[in-house]
Amino acid sequence: MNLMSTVIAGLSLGAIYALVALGIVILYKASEVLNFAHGTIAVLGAYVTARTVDILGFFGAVVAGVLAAALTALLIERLLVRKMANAPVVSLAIMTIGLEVILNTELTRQIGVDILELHQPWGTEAIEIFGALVPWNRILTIVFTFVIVLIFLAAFRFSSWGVSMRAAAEDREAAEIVGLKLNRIAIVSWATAGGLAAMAGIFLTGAPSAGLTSSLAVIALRAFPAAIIGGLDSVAGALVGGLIIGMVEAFAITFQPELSFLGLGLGDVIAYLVMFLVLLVRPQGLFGRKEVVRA
Amino acid sequence: MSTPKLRVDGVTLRFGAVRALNDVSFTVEPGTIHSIIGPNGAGKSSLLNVLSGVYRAQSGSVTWGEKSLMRMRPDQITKAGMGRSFQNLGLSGSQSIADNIMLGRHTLMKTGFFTGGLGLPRARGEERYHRARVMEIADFLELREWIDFPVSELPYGLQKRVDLGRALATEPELLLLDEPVAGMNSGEKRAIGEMLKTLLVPMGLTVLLVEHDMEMVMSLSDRITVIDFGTVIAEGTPDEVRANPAVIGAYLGNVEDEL
Amino acid sequence: MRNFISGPARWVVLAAAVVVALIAPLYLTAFWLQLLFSISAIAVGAIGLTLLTGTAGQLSLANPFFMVMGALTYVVMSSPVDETGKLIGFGLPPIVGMISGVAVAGITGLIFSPIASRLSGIYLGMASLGLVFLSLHILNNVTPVTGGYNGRRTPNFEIFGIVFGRSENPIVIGGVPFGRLEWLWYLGIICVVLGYIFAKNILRSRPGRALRLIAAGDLPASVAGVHVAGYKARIFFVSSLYAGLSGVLFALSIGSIAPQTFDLALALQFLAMIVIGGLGSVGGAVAGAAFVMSLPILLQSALSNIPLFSGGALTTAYLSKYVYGAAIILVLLFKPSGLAGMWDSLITRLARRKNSSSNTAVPPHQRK
Repeated sequence: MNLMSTVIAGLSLGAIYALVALGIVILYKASEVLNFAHGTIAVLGAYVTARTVDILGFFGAVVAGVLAAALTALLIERLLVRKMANAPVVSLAIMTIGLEVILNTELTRQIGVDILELHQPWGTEAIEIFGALVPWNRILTIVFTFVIVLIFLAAFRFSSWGVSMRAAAEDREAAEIVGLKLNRIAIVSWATAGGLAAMAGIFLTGAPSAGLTSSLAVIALRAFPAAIIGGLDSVAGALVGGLIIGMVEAFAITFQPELSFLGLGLGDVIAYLVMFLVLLVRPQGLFGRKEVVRA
Repeated sequence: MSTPKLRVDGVTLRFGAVRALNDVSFTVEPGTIHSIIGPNGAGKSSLLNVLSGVYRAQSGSVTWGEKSLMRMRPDQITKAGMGRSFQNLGLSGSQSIADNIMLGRHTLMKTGFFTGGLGLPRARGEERYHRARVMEIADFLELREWIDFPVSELPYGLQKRVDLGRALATEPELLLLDEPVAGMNSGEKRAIGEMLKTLLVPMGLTVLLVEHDMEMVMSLSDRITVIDFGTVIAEGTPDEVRANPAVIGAYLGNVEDEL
Repeated sequence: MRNFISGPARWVVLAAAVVVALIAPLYLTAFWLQLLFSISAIAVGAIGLTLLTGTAGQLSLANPFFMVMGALTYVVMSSPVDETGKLIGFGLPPIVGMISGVAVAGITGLIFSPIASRLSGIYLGMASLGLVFLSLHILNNVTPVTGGYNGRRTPNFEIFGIVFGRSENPIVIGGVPFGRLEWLWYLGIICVVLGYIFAKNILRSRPGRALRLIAAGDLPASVAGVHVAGYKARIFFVSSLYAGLSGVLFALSIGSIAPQTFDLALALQFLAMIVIGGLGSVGGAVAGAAFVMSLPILLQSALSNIPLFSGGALTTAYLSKYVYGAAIILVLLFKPSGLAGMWDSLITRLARRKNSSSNTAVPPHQRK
C-alpha cells in the first residue's frame, strides 16, 4: 500500500466520519443532546438499503434507506427528546444510550453473521491514481461528501433554518422569545442528521469493504471521537475532526507492521487515543467554545 | 486590624464586542449598606458576577482590604468572607431547605469524603453543630415550618429567602445581594430591610445591594452608585442621587415618580 | 423507611436480616449462591457509579476500566509464581491481592481524576468510553499479564486460613460443607453492606450536599464555596475505588478474567442499573444491579415454555438487552426516581395509612 492510496483511504474514511459527526453536532446544537444512538442510525440506513435493493434497485433503495433513517431520527425527537426537554443533560444522554442498546441489539440480530451487499452500481471497480489502485467507492465518497458539506454549510449560513438554528443554539430562551419555532428547527435538524448518517452508512459498506456486517456499528461509533475532537458545538469542528480521525486510522492500518509495538488492531482504537490527547490540551475540543465563566 | 474596604477600580468587562462594564469604580465602606441601581441591562448583575469571581474582567482591580479578588475562584472568594445571593437562585432544587442552608456552611466545615463516609465522631459532631446553626437561621428567616421540603416545591418568594439564608450561613463579612426581595410582598420586603439595617449591619456586616425596589433602596442605603450602560453615572447619598439630573434622565422620569 | 418502622421494630428487622444472611448458605443452592454473589460484586461497582453519575451528574462509562485494574492486580498479585514466565504472578496472599487491587484502581482513578474534573458532562462520558476501548486494546496485547484474549484463572480468595475453594477438609456447618461459594457469599454481603453504609454516609454529610449542588450547576456550587474541580476529582476517585473492589469480587465470581469482559456493553449495563434503580440512590443501585444481572435468568425460566423463545432466534441474551434498554428509556421518561422512587412512594403510602392523622406539614401554596 503506497502513500497515495493511504491518503485517499484516509480522506474517504474521514469523509464518512465527518458525515456522521456533522449529524451529531447538528443534533447537539439543535436539541442540546448527544445522541449516542447516531451510529446505529447510520447502520439502520445501510440496512434498509441492503434489504430493499432487490426490490427497488440501488437508487430506490438508497432513497428508502435515507428516508428510514430520517424518519427514525424524527420519531426519536418527537417521542423521546421532546418529552425530556427539561431533564438534565446527562439524563438525556443516558436515554439515547438506552436507545442505542435497543437499536444496536435489533440490527445485530437482523444482520447476524451475514455480509449484506448493497449492490452499488460502481461495484468494486477501481481506478489508478499515481500508481495506486483506488476503488470508485472511495472517490465517490469524497466527492459526494464534499458536495453535501458545501450545500450544508451554505444552508447553515444563509437559509432561514440555518440562521434560526444558530440563533437557537446560541441562546434558546432568547430564540423562543423572539418567536423562532424551536420545534420546526428540531424537525429539520433531526431529519437532516438522520439522512446524512444513512449516506455515511451506505458509503461505509462499499468497496473495499465486503458489505454490511454487524461490526459496522463499532466503526460508526468512532464518529463520536471525531465530533468531540472538533468540539461538539462546532460544525467546522465536526468536519475537521472527521478528517483527522479518518487520516490517522488509515495511516495506522497501513503502517500496522511498523507500529506493531503499540499492539495489534491499533487502527480500531487510535481514534480514542487522539481524542484523549486533544481533550488533555483543550477540554472543550479544537473549535469548541470556551466558557467565559470559571468555577 | 481595620475592617476591610471593598475597592472597585477601573473594572472593564467585555463580551466580544459588547462592553458590559466600562471603567467602573467605587468604594464600599465597611459596616454600611451600599446599593447599586440602574435601568435593566445596565450591568448590575455583571458587576456582581465580577465581584464574586464568576466573570473575569479584562482590566481594573477589585480589592477587599489587602486581598485582590480578581484572580480568585468563586469558592475562594466565598471562603475569604464574601457571601452572595442570586437573582436566579443558586439553590439545589432536589435538596431540602435545611440542606441548602447547610451548603452555606460548606466553607466553615471540614468533613470530607473519608471522614464523612466512615461516619467518624468528628464528622458527626461537626454536622450536629452546624445543623443547629442552620436551624437558628431558619427560625430567624421564618423558614422552620417547611424546613425538610425540597426547595423546588416552594414558591419563588420562599426560595429567595432560602437563598438569602444560604448566603447568611456562610457568615460573611461582605454580603452581595442580587435583587433579594424580588417576588416578595411588601410585608416580607419590609422584614428583610429591617433585618439588614437594624440587626445584621450593626453586627458588623457590610452589604452591597443590587435592587430595583426604589423605596427599599432609598430607605436602607448609606450610599448609592448608579450605573447605566455599564458606566457609573452618579454616586452619593440617597438624597444626592435623588436630585441628580443624570440619574433622573437615565430612568426617563420613572425614578421621579417612585421617589 | 424511618417513618414506617420505628423504634424497637427496626432493631428486630435488622437482627432478622443478619440472621438470614448468616444462615443463607445452609439453604441456598449453588446456583443461587453464585448468582447472588455476582450481584453483590456488581452492586459494589454500581454504588460507586451512582454517586458519580447519579448524585454528581458526571456521566462516566469508565467502571469496566477500573474494574479490570482491580481484577488484574488481584490476579497478578495472588497467582502462583510461574517459572516459565508465561503468566506473571507474585504468589502473595489473596488478601494482599485484594487490597492492592482496590489500591491500584484508586491510584489509576487518582491519575485520571484531574482530567475528569476538567471535562464537562458529555465530554467526560466520551473520554471514559475512550478509556475503556484503549484499555481493552492494551490488555489484549499484554499477554503475560492478562493471558491475552483468552484471559487467565482467578486464584481463590483466602483469609484466616480458610480457602474459598475446593479443599481436602472443608469446614462443615449444619451438615453443609463450606466451600468456595459458601464463603464467597459472606464476602459479598460484607462488601455490599460496607459499601452501602459508606456511600449513604457520604450522601448524608457535607460532601454529599456539595455533589448534589454541583449537579445543579458548577457556578452556584462554586459561589456557595465548593471547590468544584476538587470535588469532581474526588468523587471520580471514590467511584474508582468502588469499581476496583467490584472488579476483584467479579473476578472471584467468574473464576477467571479476560479483558473482553470489561467492555462497553458492561459499562452500558452499569448505566442501566443506576438509572433503573434511580439515579443517585444507593439502595437503588443495588436493586438495579440485581435486576439487570438476573434478567437473563429470569427471562430464560419465564420463557422456556414458549417455543418461540427457546430457539436461537430470540435468545435471552438479546431479550435482556431489549428489556434493560427499554427500561432505561421508560424510567427516564416516566419515573426518573426509578425503583428507589417506587419503593419510597410505597412506603409513604403505607405510612400514611398507618398514621391516619396527618401531622406532616403541607408545602405552602405555589404562587408562580
